[in-house]
Amino acid sequence: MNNRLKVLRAERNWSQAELAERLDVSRQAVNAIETGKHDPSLPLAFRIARLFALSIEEIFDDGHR
Amino acid sequence: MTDIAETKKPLGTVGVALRLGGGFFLAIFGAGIAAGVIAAWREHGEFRTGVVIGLGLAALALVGGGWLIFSARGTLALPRSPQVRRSRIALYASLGISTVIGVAAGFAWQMQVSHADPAHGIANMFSATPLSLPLTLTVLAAWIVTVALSLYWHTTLDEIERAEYEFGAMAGLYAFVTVAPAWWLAWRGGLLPEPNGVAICLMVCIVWCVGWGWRRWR
Repeated sequence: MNNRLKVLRAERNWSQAELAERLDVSRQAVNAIETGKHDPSLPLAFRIARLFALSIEEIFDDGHR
Repeated sequence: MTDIAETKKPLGTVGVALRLGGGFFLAIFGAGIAAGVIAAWREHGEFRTGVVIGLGLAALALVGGGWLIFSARGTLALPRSPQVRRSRIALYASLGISTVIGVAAGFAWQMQVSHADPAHGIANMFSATPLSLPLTLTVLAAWIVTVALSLYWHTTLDEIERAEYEFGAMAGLYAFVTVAPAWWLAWRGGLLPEPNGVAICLMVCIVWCVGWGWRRWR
């Protein structure tokens, strides 16, 4: 699944560690989501969406739109 | 796709491992040189040039090792986010306690095997020979504490890390249900010696680690 997490993070000038801290996950978790190695669970996707004040669909794209 | 560089490039796992490994190696090496030089100095009673050079080398190795360990402090520092912080504390506690108990058990083991069978110390670890009660209790305590800490640690992992461990665990489970019955059947059929539970447990742990590592660094 594609996502805009890396771009959104960079727009706020956050490092992976800073984003991980805000989401209460490990830095490796942020890296795994950004690189598409792992798709987040629904609760984590909601936390990400709330953090960036966007909808889940504006961050994640499953290629079916 | 836009290529965005990290604002603060963290030290990678390999980098941390190299710095810590190199640091501890240099520190132990330096301590060894210092101990050897001081022992020789006490034995011969002369303060010769070799002693100065030896102590200088030891100091260099100790300072270099200390610097390497110190340079990894940023990556090893406790994170501020609550869940990751709990996980890191559990990991450090597990490493610290298991190291202390492991060293103590190792000394006790060596003392026992050196009396019983000095030539086969390592082989005795996997044999079915009787153990002394203190050694049995020490190793049992180490095992129970390690498993308890590991259980707590798993409750503190985030979903991505947990998925990595569960992938490894599933690989380990499949390895177990393949090897254990196959070995038992092969033994019943006279093809292999009697199954060794410790060897199977070690094999499962290795497969678990390989599965976890593949999932993490693929």
